[in-house]
Amino acid sequence: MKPQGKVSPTIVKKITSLIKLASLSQLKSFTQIEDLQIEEPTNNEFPIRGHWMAVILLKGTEIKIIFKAHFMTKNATALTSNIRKFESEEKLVTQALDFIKEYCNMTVGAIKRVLGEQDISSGVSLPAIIRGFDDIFSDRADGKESFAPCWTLKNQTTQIDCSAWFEIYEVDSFAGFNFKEAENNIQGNNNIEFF
Amino acid sequence: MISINTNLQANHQILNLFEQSKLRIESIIDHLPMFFAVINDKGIILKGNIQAAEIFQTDSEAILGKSLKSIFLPEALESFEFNFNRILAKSETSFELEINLQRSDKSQRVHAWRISEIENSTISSGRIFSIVGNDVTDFKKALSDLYGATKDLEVTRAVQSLLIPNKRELTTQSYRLVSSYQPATQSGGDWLWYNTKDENRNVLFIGDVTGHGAGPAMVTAIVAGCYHAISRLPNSKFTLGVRETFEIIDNSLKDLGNNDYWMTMSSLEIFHDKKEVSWSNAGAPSILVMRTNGEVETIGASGNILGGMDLALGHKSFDFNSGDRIFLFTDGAFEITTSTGGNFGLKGLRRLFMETRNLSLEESRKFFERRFVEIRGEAPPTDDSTFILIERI
Repeated sequence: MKPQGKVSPTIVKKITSLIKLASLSQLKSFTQIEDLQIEEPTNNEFPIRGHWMAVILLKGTEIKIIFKAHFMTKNATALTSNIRKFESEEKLVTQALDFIKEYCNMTVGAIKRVLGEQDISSGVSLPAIIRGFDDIFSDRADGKESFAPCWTLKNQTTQIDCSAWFEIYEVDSFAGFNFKEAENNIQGNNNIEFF
Repeated sequence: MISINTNLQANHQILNLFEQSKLRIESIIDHLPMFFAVINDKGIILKGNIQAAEIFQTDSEAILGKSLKSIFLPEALESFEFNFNRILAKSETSFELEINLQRSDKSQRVHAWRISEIENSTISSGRIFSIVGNDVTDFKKALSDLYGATKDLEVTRAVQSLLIPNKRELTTQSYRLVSSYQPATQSGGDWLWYNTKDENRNVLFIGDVTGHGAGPAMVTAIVAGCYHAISRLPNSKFTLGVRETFEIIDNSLKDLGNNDYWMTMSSLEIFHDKKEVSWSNAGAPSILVMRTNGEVETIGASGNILGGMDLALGHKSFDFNSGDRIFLFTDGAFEITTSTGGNFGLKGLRRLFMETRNLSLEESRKFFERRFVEIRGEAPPTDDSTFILIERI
């Protein structure tokens, strides 16, 4: 599917901001860690952002978003420390990976919900965990039609890198999109919604 | 709607299978018993398994982003950069090198690596290169030790070759002989000598120190040295009798061998002007005599082995006529386990000896050497094998 029309930098910036906000608010909500903040990634030049990468796809006729969470096992376990007691060392990694997958599911689920509230319908895949190394095979084209912002969510003790590769197919659909309302809805409603 | 749900479920199952298989493959790579890493064109690690992480004294997650160059010793870095630059310049697509690495704890290891470019059109972040290899430090040390030991054995073999006659054929006025000396390893515990200094009386010796290898080889060196010393006594044309010779060797073995090394030995005295020959034996196997009519006699005479007990020699004198052949040998010539697991034995050797009736001495020697190998099959020799075959002219 080819994008139709030129995407304005303002729309790109607002969609990026919406995704970032969804990632932050869902992580805060899910981990119950309130001092997490959005920051610039520490090493944007290095192609591998973490040993692990959770990836999930949102796709509709107007937009496609591939959301990725890049992380180390130790950071994932630190993020879960408030909400979960691991049964054993053996289960530590498995449960941490499941946690991040669920976090991706919730983040993209929230984006899907606010898009849907303004008549942009989409579907969401299941999240998958792969090695961060595989990111070197992904398309990083960041230009007129596709965009690949990345950012870090962190506090004093832990961090997780996020990136979103997105394409806008129908620019007009976002011309009248109320981003302010969408951002409010993302921040105001953190209930988990499964489809 | 049912169709959509079915497709969705199928897609989810495929995704799940993909995820699981990917993770399993990654886990296998992680636990490969070898060094594996992927680096970028600056030598920065993009991926590494557990063995690679061990070099950095960390885990396979923390290895991400580390510089490979930090673990090279200076000369190794130079070698690596030279070869790596050739790949970067597209002069080569891969290279192999042995490289000295320094772990984070400063211990040094030697690795053998193959580095090659991963060519994939979907890679979006520059050129990447795989490294597969192994820690060969222990292997190199073992190889070095083995090389040293092999060199030592080669020297032992070279020295030992000086202790036995350098000619395997001898022709005198009354007899001809051929001999064969086949140590089981690089060096052996068998010994033979023919003393032809006296104008009329020649003495042939054949002996076998218990065991084989470097230890017995050194004992044969003692015996040979001892013999050569006494045979060169001033004003002597080696008139020393056989018994005296055995006595001196027996005492030397007892003094120097500390009762740990024993030796069987027999000698054959041949007089050019007499038919009769005299065989003396200290624990050695019987000898075989083939008469001109093809009959083979087994001649035995019991005597004590040298180096352990009181000296007691067995003696036999017998006629050695023109065309007769005498076969002296050590036990390695018949204590052979056949390829089918049987025992070749003295009877087998006797049969083999009979088969040489119409062969020349030289042909007989080659025949015995070839047949010993064939009888043994693919198994390596377990003992040294030595013989002397004499024919009266």
